[in-house]
Amino acid sequence: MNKSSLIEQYFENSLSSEEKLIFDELLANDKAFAEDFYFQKDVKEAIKKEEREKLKKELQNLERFQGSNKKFSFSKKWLVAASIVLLFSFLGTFFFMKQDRFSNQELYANYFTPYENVVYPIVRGEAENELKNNAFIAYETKEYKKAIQLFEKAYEQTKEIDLLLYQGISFLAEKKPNKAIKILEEYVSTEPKYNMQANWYLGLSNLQLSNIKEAREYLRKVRNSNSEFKIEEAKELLKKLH
Amino acid sequence: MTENDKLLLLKKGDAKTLKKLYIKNREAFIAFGRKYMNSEEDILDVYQDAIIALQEQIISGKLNNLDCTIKTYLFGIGKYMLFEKNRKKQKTILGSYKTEEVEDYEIIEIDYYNEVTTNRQRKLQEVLSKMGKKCKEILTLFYYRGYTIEEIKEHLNYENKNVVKSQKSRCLKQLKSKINE
Repeated sequence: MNKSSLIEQYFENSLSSEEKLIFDELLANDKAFAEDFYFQKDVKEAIKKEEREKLKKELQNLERFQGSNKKFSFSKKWLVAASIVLLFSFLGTFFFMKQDRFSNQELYANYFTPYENVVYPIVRGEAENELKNNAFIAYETKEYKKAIQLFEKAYEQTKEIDLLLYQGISFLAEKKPNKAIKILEEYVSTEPKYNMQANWYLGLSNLQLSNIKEAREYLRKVRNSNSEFKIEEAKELLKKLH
Repeated sequence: MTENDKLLLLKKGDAKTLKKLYIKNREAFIAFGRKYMNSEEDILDVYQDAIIALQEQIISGKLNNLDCTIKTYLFGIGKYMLFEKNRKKQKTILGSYKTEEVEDYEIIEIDYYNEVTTNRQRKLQEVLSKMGKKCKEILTLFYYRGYTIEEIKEHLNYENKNVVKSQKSRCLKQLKSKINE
């Protein structure tokens, strides 16, 4: 029995009772073994802390949006809207399990949802930047035509690169995938923070245009990335493309 | 979606399901928390911790069979956390807190709040956050998500288990040398 695989089994929770005895024996008497084990235990702890902090930040962000929606007394409306979307996406997934061949348009429609606003909490009254504020209000209320124009102006004024991502998604929501691709490619070329999000929407834009080869390329990037964003969806979608 | 479907999704680390769960039970938790605490901000802070602790319980496989709903379990953990937070603040405890539950809510709370972070762990955390994607992924799957070597092989399309093993030990070595720098 190899020592390092004993440690491995400990973390896999798969030590037999006999192996557990050997494990305890080594832990008490073999210094190198104990050192190795406690090091890995610390690694485990460190990862747990890291994941906790990450998740805490995400939840705090989510909370901020809950709060900002409430200021507009949107929350009920949003809840209704969200549950309808949820219902449809659930029906959508259910539908998917039953059949496996879909047209590109059907696939697109089943996977497209606009990315949530994570860069700019909407405020009422004196916003630090009115254009940007209004752009996101239009975006969140699905007035994409208006949003496109406002994002354009807000970008000219502030040069904040993330605005391009939302403008691109708005174009896609308005069924203008060619324009979406142009903007999103520009966005990606700056190696931005939301690179994977942009890749996902570039994938969907190309799918909408039936450019399957390009769509695949972008979706693969999403699938192989390390961000949590849409990995599962990208995997599924890649399987369904034909 | 049944409770078990949700549980399976949460076990996979599905962020969307967790966020839906968060939003769905938020108002109810605030109302529940008022029995123990006055400030909504504090209650929400505890609520977030309870959600994270719940996720950890599920991921680590300690919660495969629920004999109550996810909500009950979540509120059970939350209750002890509210209590603990109050204790730390040295304030009078509002409401009563009885230990009639079957689940180990108290143990979960203690695990969550009372873990001491050693210097080496802190250093490791720092180094980990700067590590390459590949290492981070493999280590997170193994030590946090509870994947076995075999499952990692499947998940990341490695050729065989030995490749996974040697990749993993390379990453550990790298970590070790970096924290000793």
